[in-house]
Amino acid sequence: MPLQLFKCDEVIPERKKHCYIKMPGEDISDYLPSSNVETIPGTLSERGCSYCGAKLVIGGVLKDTIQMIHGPVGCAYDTWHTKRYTSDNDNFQLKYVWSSDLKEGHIVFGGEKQLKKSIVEAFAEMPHIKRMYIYTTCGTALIGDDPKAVARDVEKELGDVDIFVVECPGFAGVSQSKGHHVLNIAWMNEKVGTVEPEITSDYTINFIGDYNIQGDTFVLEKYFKRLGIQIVGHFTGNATYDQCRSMHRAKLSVVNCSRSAGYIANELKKKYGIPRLDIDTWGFDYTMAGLRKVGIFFGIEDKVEELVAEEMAKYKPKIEWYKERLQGKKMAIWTGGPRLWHWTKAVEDDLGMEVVAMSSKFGHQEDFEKVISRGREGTIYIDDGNELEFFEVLDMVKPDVIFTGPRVGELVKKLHIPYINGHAYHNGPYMGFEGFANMARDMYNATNSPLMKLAANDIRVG
Amino acid sequence: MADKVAELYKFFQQRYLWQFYSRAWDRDENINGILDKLPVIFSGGQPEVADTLKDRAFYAEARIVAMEVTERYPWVKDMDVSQLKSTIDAVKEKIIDVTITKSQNGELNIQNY
Repeated sequence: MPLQLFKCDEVIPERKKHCYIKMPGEDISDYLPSSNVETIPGTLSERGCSYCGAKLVIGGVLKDTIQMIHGPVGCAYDTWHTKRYTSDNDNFQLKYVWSSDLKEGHIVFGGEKQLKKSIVEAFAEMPHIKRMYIYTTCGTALIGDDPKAVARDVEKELGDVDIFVVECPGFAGVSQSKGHHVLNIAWMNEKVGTVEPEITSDYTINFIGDYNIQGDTFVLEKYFKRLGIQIVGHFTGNATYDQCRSMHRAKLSVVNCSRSAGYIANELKKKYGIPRLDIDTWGFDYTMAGLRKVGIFFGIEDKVEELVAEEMAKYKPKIEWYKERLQGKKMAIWTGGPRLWHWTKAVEDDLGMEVVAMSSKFGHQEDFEKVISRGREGTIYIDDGNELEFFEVLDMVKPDVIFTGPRVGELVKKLHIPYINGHAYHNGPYMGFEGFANMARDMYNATNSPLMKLAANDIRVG
Repeated sequence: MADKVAELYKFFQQRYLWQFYSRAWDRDENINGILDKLPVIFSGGQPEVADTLKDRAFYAEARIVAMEVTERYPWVKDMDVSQLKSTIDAVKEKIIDVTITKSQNGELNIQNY
């Protein structure tokens, strides 16, 4: 079916290029929604800004790094604490938030002195921390502050600190995707190759594009440790700043989220000849295939089979129990981009569910190629969905459960449709064998809880 | 044979991420590097694997493809090497056509990542 214009979009007909319903016999060379382009004025977009893509998604995950936001305090506060990426060092990265706290006076007279003061103060308050990210924001980029010069100045003065500057203000791109891109490429150009790691295994990997949401990384680390595989750089779940500087020494890049971190995997391939294997870490069948692939690469298939057999024995009965009860349930996925294509076949194959509508906030056409290829016929695929489109889609497909962020989640809760946090999870981790059982449990709870039905009852009318 | 090619093509499209890497040259390299090893693996042999990390990665992907296809489409076991080769070549042609030649993805030929 050609691209679709929803009724609610009749006044913004440009939205037609962004909405698609897959019909039998069609493939991605017939229709591919427009994506990673400017949001159309007048549409109620759910996108985040480019700075947020750099800070909230990737940089802010590092467990030993001060995150100095050069801008007004709101830019720091609003990208703090909303994603539950934990660490094994008492969650340093979740406990604190740092800002140069710019006011109008700094915008008029320049904010560099204030930035320097804030950097020095932060290092003095936390003398055990020697690493820092600095982010520019819209205001400080517009007035032309030079945070790199300030950072070099401080590095020289303090002598034992290392600072990385992300120059990606909120307006730099059309969505948070630009922030991923800028951070990846700058990190590659400026920091990778500047630390030599201690190599303790013949089997070394970078794990790229996992951010330890509610402990995902711990699940993956457990598998790789058991297989005798050393993770040289985990980009960036539970990682340190210096681990990510040593990514050039791995033999293989294993990639989960290729949208937020495919760039660094590609650059590592180009510059250091490190090949890239893309895997899906959500889903039973996918996890098994991913581990097997890495096992074949290193010639340790037997170890992988042992691990798979043990994990299957532990978690397969749980999955079967949930499958019986979730079979045929209709699900919508309205998240960032990659989770659409990671999840659609996983829940269909492993749990018998049907994904009936998907919307991506910052996916590129590459992501739509993947999701339309994997997704069902009759399913709705939307780029940069707006609130009114969501209402219309709900009427069309009537999902039993929706995976989305808290912002859209509040909207669907008011309609008494169960929602699960598709970004930061309800009760994760969701990755790996045990994670997928958690995800199934959350869906079972969401679809069977009487709460939504009760909430819809107006007790005044009996 | 056309039915078998269509079946395999659909499965490959749904399953494998290597055909959707960011740029046309990555896709081309992956599709050829992986699929060229398949007929030998399907027929129980050991394909040539160069002593490079890149070729080892292609081999790992190819082995997984062979494992999954054999499990789902047992008729591949009844094919001889030349039938396997022509079937895989036809699948390859279709994948290249859809993911590279006719792709509507505007980023495929951007010079930088």
